[in-house]
Amino acid sequence: MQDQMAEALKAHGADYVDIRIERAERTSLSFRGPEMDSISSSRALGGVARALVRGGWGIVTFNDVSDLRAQVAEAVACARLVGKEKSQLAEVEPVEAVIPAPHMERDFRAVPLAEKQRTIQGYNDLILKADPKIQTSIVSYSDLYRQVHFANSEGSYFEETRPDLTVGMSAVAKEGDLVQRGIDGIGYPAGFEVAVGMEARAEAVARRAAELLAAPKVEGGTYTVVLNQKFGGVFAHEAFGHLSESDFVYENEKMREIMVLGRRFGPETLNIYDDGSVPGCRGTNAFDDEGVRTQRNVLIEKGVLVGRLHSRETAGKMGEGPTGNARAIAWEHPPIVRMTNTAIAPGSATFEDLIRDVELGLYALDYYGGQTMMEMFTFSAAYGYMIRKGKLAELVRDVVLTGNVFETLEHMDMFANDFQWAHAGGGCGKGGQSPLPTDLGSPHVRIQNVVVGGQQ
Amino acid sequence: MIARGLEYARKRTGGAEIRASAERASAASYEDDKLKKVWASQSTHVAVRVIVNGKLGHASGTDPVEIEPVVDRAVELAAFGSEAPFTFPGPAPAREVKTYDPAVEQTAREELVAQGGVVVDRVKAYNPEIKVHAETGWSVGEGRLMNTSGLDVTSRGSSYYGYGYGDLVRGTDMLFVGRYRHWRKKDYDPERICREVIGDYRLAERNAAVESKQMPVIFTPRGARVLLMPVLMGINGKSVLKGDSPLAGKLGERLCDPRFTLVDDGTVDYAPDSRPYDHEGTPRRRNAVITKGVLNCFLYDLDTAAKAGAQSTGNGPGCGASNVLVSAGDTPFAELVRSTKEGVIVESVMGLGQGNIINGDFSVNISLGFKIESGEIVGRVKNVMLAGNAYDALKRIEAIASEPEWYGSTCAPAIKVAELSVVAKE
Repeated sequence: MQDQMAEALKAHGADYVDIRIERAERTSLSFRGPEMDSISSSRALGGVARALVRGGWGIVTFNDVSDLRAQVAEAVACARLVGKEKSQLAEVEPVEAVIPAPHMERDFRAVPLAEKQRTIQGYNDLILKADPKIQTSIVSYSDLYRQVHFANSEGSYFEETRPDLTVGMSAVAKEGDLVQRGIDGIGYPAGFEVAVGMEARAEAVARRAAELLAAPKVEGGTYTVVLNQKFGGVFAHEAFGHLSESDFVYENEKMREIMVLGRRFGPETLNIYDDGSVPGCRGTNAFDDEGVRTQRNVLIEKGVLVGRLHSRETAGKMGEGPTGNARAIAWEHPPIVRMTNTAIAPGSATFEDLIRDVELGLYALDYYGGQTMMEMFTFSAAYGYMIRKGKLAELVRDVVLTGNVFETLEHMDMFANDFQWAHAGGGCGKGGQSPLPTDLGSPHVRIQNVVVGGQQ
Repeated sequence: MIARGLEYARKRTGGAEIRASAERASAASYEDDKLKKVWASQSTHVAVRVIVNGKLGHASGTDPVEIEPVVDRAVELAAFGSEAPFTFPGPAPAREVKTYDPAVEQTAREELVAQGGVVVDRVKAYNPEIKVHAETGWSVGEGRLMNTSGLDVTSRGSSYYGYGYGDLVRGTDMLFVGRYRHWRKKDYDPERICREVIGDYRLAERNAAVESKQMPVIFTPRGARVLLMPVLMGINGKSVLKGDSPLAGKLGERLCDPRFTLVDDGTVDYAPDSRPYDHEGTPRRRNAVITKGVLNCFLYDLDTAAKAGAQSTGNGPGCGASNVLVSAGDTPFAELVRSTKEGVIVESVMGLGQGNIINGDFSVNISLGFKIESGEIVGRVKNVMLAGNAYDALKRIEAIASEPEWYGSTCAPAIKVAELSVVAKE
C-alpha cells in the first residue's frame, strides 16, 4: 500500500496532498428484551484524498482504491475551484512509522462468536431477572479493528492499528405509564478481556431503573450541584471542549475575542486538558489523521485559557503549534478538529468536603445525553440524589441541567481528589462524523447556581 | 455479480437477500463566509441477509465484486442470529414513485459553489457581523435488490440538498439561525433559505423577557419535532412489540386532538424518503397512522410484522417512518400569533432526545424562540426551558396552521398548544 500511495502523490500540482486508506472489520451484536436482536458483520476498504490549492480544499472519498492517482487528480481539480488565498499549514516533521495495535490480551477477532454471544446474553439475563419491574433491556456489543494507512506529499507515511471495543447496557423499568432507564457501558482500545466481568454493573443498571420508578422528579430551580466523575467529564467535553476546537475560532473574529488566550474562565483551581496520548483511553492514537503526533494539550490552567485544539490548518492560520487533534471516524471522512481524551484535573478536596456545607443541592450522576449550542448547554444525568443539610438524601429522576458554559465554569468552586477516566462507550459527534471514540475524565466537581429543569 | 452471489447463497441457506448499491455525490461548502471545500465521492455497498435454520444473519461489505465472502460471513453469524419467522417476499407490484431527476447529476460543481455563495452574500448583506455557513450538494445512486423468492428490483434515485445557517456573536451571546432543504429533484432555492434565515434574525434583534408560568406555545414546522419525535418512536412496530411504546394496545383509541392527522407516506414524488420498495422489497405505501386523533396502525418490517402477527407496512428493515406528513389546519400562522395574548414560539430546541422521550416527556432548552405579547412577536427568548409531555400537548392543541412545510423528510404545519410549562432562568 505504501508504494501505491507514494506513487499517487508524485507530480500532483497542488500545495499539499494526502491520502488515507483504511480497512475496517466490525462485529456487532445486541439483545433487546429476552431475544437476540441483531448480529452483523461489516468489512470496509476505502479511502480519502485531500488536496490543498491556494488555501482551498478538494476532497475525494472512494471505495475503489485501484487508481489512487486518479483520485488525487480529482481532489486537485476540486481544490482549484476553491482556493483564492495562501495555503497555510503548521510545519510538521515528516514521520515514518508502523504502529501496531495496543496490547490485546485476547484479540477479539479470535474470540468465537459463541463466546461473544454468551457473554452479552449473560448480562442481558441478569438485567431481565434483577427486578420484576424490569420490562425490557438492551445490551449491545461491538468490536472494531481499524487499520489506517496515511501518506502525504511531504514524505510522511504511517500505519496505525486502532482497535475499539464497546459494551452498552440499558435496563428499562415500567410501572403504569411511567418508564425509567438505567444505563452503563464501557469502551476501550483493547481486546475481549475488557468485555468480561461486568455482571455487577449489569445488576446495578437494572436495580437503578427499578428504583427510579419510585423516585420523585427533581423540582425545577437553581441549586448547588455536585457532578460525579462521568458527568464532570461530559461537562469538560461537551460544554467547554467543543469551544476549544479551533475550526470554530480561526476564521471568526468574534469567537477569537471570546476564546482569547489569557482570558480567565474559572477559579484558580480549575484545570482542563485534552490528551491523545494516555495509554488505555479510547481517544488515544499515536498520530492523528494528518500524521501529527498526539500529546497532552492544556486548555485551562489555573482558571486561565492557555491553549486550544488544532488541525495543521487552524494551527498554521492562528500561528500556534500543531496539537494532533485532526481526526476522522472512518475512511469516508476527512479529518476535522476533534477532542481525544478530555478531562478536568483533580483538586485536593474530598467528596465529603463538597457536600458538607450544602443546605439544599443536587448530586448528579452519569450522563444520559448532552447537547450544546455554543454557550448554552442542556445535559441530562442518568440519575441524581438531593443533597439536604450536607448529606445525600433521596434519589430523584429527570435531572436536566441547563445554563451558560462561561457562567458555569466561573461557578465551579470545588474539585475533589478522586479523578477517574470514564472509559465509556458511545462517542462524540461533530460535522456528520459520529461516534468518534473519545474518553472523558474528571473528579467530583461542585458548581454553584445551576438551573435544573423540571415541570413546575 | 448479485445473481451469482444469490446462487451461491441459495445452496447454503433457507433464504437469502442481497442488496448492492453504488452512489456518487458532490458538494461545495462554505464555512465562516468562505468557500472551504469542494467534495466528490464514490461508494459501493453490498448487504446480505440470510436465514439459516430459521435464524437471521446479516453482513455487509464495500467490494461490489466479491460477494461470496459476505454471504459466508452472514451464514456464520446466522447460527447465532435472532429468530426469523418470515420469508423474503416475492415480486409484488409497487406504485410508481418519482425518485430520480437527471438534472441533479448534471449540476456542475461551479453551480454548487455559486448557490452557496448566494446564501453567504445575502445574509452578510443583511448583517455583516453574522458568520455564514452554507452547503449545496447532490447525490445519485443505483441499487439492485434480489432475493431467493424471485424478487429482483432495481432502483435509481437522486438527491439535491442545501443549507445555510448563521452565527451571530455579541459578547458571550451567540445566536444560531439555520434552514435546510432536501428533495430528490433539483428544486433548491437558496434565496428562500436566505429570506427565512434573515427573517428569524430580524425577529431576534431584540430579546424579550419571559416569566416562568404556563402559557400557550406555538411550535413552528421545525419546532414541531418536540411533539412528533416521541410519536414517531411510539408508532415503530418494534417498540410496540417489545413493549417499549406507550402506544402498545391503544389501536383504535383517541390519542390526540381530532384535528391531528399523521400519515407515513413513502410514495410522495421526489420526497426525501420516497422509493417504490423499501429495502426488503416490500412496496412502499401510504400508512394512515393517526387519523383525526385516533391511532390506526403501527409501522412494520417483515421480521417484526411476522412476530406481531401483522403485515409489513413497507417500513423495513427497522420499522422506522418514511416521509411523515402532518395534515394542515385551517388557521393561518399569522392568526395563531395574533390570537395569542402572551406566549412563546418555538423554532429550535436543545436537549431533545434526552430523558424519557418515548413516554412523551420533554424538558428542553429553547435555542431559538420568540415571545408573543398581545398578538405580536416582540423578541427572542433566552435561557428558557420548555417542559411537558408530547401526548398531553397533542390532546390540548388550540389550533393548527394552514401552511405545512417540509423539513427533512417531515412535512408539518405549525401547531399551537393551549398551555405548556415555560421555565425562565432567574
